[in-house]
Amino acid sequence: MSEDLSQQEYGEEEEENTHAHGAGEKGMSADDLAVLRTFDEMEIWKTPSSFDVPNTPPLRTHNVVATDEDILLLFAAEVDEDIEQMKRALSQLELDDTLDTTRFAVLRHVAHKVRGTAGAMEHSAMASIAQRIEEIIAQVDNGSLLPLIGLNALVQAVLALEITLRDALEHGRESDLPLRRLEHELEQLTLSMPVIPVRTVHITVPLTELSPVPSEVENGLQGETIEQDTQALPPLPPGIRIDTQRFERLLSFSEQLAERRNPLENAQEQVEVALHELHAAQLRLQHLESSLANLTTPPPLPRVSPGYPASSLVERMLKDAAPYRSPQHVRKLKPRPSLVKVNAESGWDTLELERFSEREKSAHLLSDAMACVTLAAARVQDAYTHLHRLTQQYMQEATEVYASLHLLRLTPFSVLLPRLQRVIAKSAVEIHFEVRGEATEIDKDILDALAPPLLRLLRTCVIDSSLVRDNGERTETHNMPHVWLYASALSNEVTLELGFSMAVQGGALDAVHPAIQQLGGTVELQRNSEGGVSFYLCFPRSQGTVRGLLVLVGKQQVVLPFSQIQRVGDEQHEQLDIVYRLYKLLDFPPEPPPHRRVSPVVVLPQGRSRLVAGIVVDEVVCDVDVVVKPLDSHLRRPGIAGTALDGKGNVLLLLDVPALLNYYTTVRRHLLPEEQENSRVQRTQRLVLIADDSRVLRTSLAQTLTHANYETIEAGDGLEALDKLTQTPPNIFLLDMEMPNLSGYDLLNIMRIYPELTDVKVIMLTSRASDKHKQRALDLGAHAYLIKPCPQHVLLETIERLLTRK
Amino acid sequence: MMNRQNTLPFLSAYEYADYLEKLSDEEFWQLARDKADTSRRTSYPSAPTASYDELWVCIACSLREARCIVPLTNIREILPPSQSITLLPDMPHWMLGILAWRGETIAVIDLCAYLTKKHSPCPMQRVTLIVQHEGLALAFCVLAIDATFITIDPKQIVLSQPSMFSVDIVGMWEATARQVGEMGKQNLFYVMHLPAFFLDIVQGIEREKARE
Repeated sequence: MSEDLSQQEYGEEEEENTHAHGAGEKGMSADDLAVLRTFDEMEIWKTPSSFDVPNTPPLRTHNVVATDEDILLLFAAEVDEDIEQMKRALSQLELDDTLDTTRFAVLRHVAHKVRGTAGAMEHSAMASIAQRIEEIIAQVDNGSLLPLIGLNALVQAVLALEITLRDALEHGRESDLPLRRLEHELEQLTLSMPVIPVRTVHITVPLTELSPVPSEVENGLQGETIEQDTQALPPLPPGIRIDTQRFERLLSFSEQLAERRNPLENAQEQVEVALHELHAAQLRLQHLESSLANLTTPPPLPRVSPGYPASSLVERMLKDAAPYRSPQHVRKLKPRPSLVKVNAESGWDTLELERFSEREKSAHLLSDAMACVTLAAARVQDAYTHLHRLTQQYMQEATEVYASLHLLRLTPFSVLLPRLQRVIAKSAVEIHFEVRGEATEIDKDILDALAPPLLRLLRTCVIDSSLVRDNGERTETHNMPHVWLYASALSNEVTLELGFSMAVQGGALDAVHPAIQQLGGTVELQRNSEGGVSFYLCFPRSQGTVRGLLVLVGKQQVVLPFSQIQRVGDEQHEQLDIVYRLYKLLDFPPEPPPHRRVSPVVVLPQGRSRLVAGIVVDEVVCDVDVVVKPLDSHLRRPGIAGTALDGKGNVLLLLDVPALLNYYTTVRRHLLPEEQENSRVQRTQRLVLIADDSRVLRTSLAQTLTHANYETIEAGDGLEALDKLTQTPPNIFLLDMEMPNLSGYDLLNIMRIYPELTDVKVIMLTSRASDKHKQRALDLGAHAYLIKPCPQHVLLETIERLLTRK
Repeated sequence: MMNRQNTLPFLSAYEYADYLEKLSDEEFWQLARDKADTSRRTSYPSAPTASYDELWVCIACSLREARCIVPLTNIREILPPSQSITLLPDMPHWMLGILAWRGETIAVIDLCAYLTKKHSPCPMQRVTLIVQHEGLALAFCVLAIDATFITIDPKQIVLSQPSMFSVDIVGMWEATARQVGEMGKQNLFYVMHLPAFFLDIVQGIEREKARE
C-alpha cells in the first residue's frame, strides 16, 4: 500500500469518524472494527487532561482531527505492517548463504520505529522487545555476536513482538510474558555467546603494474582488492610510477612558482609606475631646458648712439663699419653674441662676458645630459618591454607547470566503480546499476576523501527498508530497482548524480555531507522523475588555484570563489529577498558608508530556495587567481576556507559563502539585538510541521497540537518535510530523527542553507536518548531535544517557550 | 610576600635553598600548594632557564607606561610598523588579526591588551616581534623598541610577581634593578618570557571561536 493511498484512505476514515464513532465504522473492515471495539473496552486511552488546553476553538488544520480510537487502530495496523516487514527481511537473511550483516540495518530501522511508536503509545512491552532487536543488531555489528546466532535471536524477538501485539488485540491489554521469555532466551544466548576474535587483514596490492590505477589503490583505497572489470571500463592511458614524496616536493615548488605570480605582477606595476615618473621628470627637464635656452639667448645688439661713444677706438671702428651695417650684415653679427655683447647699463664688461659663457656652457651641458637621459629612458623602456614580455611568458609557463602537475594527480572516477558495484551486489534485491561519465578525472586526494562517504551513502541507500518492503511487488511486476551514477565535469567543478528509483533510508546524506563540506563542495537532494531521490554532489576537481572575486569590506580584502556566486549587481536594481552585509557576516567593524551611487551586491545562486539572496560589499576590486592555504587549527573560523597572499604580501581571506551564511543564520545573527527584534516581530503564526515516518505518532501529535490551538502540517519522510518546509515555513518543526530519504540530521544540515528557514524553531522528537545524539542535534541547530515518549505538557511547554523566547 | 617570592625562576640553587630555609612551616606548605596548583592548572612552557651566571641578551620595549625586557631567545624577527594586518572573525579583544610571515599565516597579538586583559586602542605605529616556539609562530605588537641587544646581569635584578598587569600571568615578572644601570633611571621594569604565553593565547583564540 503506498503512503499516498494510505493517507487518502485514512483521511476518508477520519472524516467519517470525527463527529460520530458509529458513522466511522461504516468504512471499516470487520478486523478493524474488532480492533476498535477491543480498544474501546480497554479504556486506557484517555484524552489528555494533564495539560491545560485553552478553551478556544481549534484553529484551521490541514488534517481533520483524529480520535484516540483512530490512533489506536492506526498503531495496530502500523506495527503489524512493521512486523511483516521484519519477517520478510529475516526470511531473506535466512536464505542468504553469506549472511551479509549490513542487511540487518533494515531490521534495526524498523525496530527503532516500532520502539518509538510503541513507547509513545505506552505499549512498554512492545517497545522493550523492539529495543532488544536493536541491541541484538548492535552486537552483531560490533562483532560481539555471531551473525547466525544474532539471526536466530532476531527471529525469536520478532516472534515475541508478534505475540505481544496479538495478545493486545485479543485480550485488550499487553502481556509481558513474551518479553520475559525473550529476555530469558537472550540471557542464555549471551552466556553462550562466542566472542569473535578481531581480525586484522592486511592486503597489499603489488606495485608491479605501470598503470596509475594500482597506485591509487595502494595509496588511497587501501584494505580491499579491486576487481577491475577491464572490459566494462574505458582503457586507461599509459602511466609511470613516481615517488610520491618527490612528486609532492615538485608540486610544492610549482606552487611556490605560481605564488610568485602576484609579487611579480606587483613588481612590474612598480617598475611601470617608476617609468612613468621618469618620463614625467624627463618632460619637466625638457621644459626647463627650453626655458633656460630662452634665458641664455642674447638680446638684440644695442644701438650705440652717436651721443655715447664708448671710446675713440670704438668710435673709429663703428665709423669704419658703417658701410656694413645693412640688415644683412647685422644678421651676420648675431651668431657671435659672446663677442659683441654690450650691457646697456654698465657698458662693456669682460667679467660679464665670462659669466655669459658659463651660462651658455651650462645650457649646452644640460642639453647633452637631457639627450643622455632621453636615450637611457628609451633603452629602459625597451628593456622593460622585453622584461615584461619574458615575465608574462614565465608566469604563464609557471601557471601551466603548476596546472599540469595537478593534472598528474587526476585519476579517472572509474577506479571507484568496482567497490561501488560490490556494494550494489550486496543489496537484498537485484538492482540495475547504471554508470555514466566514469572517465571523469578527479584529483587523487579528493577521490580518496570522497570514496568512503560515497560508499557509505550507497550502502545506506541500497539497504533500504522500503526497498525490501516493496520487493515482492517489484519482482512480480519485473520492475527492478534502478540506481544510477552520472559523473560530469565542467572546468574545475565535478558533479556526481547518485540517483535511486525508490525511496532511500534516512541518514544517507549525513554520511556524505561532512566530507563534501570539507572539500568545499555542496550536496543537494531532489526527487527524480522515477519517483525516487537523487543526490547531487558538487565539488572541485582539483585543489589548485581558486578563481574568485576580490572585494573590499571596509579596508579588508576578501575573495569570494566564483563557484559560490551567481553574478555581481547593484543593490538598488537587484530584486533581492534577503540582503546580507558582508561586514556583519564576518563580524567586522562597520565602516562609514561611502558616498557613491552604486552599492555592489554579490548575488548568490538560488538553488532550491524560493528566495534570492545577495551580499552587499563595499567595493568589487577585480577577479583573481589565488593559491589557497588552510589556516592553522586555532585560526580556523566558520566560513573562512583559507588564506592567500596578494602581490604586496597581504593576507586575503577566502570565504566559504554557504558555510558563512550557515554560521551567521544559526549562530551569529541571534547574538545581534536588532536581528532578534526582527525575528520576534515576524513570528505571528502558530504553525507546526510534524515530520515523522510513523503515521500514528503524526496523528497523535496533530491531535494534541490542534487542541492546543496550533495549526499543523505533516510529512511522512525527510524529503516531504523539506518540500513542506520550503513551501510553507512553519514556526515550529517537530522532527523525528530516523525517517526515509532524509534523516533528522540530514534535514538539520540542509535547512541551514535555506535563508527562509532561519526563524524556524526545530524540536527533535526522537527515541534516541543518548547524550551524543542530543549533542549532535543541538550542534546542527536544533533548538530543543525531546525523547519519546514525551509527556504532552512537556511538548507544549517547549513549543510555547521557543515561540516566546527572546 | 612569600607568595610573591616563590615566582622567582632566576634564583640560584643556593639562594633558593636559603630562601626555603627561612620559610616557616606554614609558608613552606603554602608555597608547595601554590606550586602544585600552578603546575596542575597550566602546562605552560618553562620559564627562561638561563644560567644564573650567564648574562641575558634582551630587547627593551615599551608597553604604554611600562618598560619591558624580552629575552632574545625565541625572537625570530622584528618587523617594522608598516606591516598590514588582516582581520579575522571572532577574535579575542587582544588579537589584532593575522599577517603573513615567511609563508605562514600567523596571529598578531596586542601584547599590552593581552597582559592587561582590557581593550586597548589598536596602536597605529607598532613594532611587531615574531616569536617562534615549538613550531608555532606568533606576532606580538609593542609600541616601540627602546633598545636592542642589551645585556642584563641577572644577579643585579630582583624578580617578583607583576602587580600592574592582571594577576597570575605565567611567564611575566616584575623586576627591580639592585643598582641603577642598564635600564637607566627607571628602576622598575618587567621581564617577559613570551613563549610562556603561547598556550594561553592559542587556547584563547580557539575559545573565542567556540564562544558563540
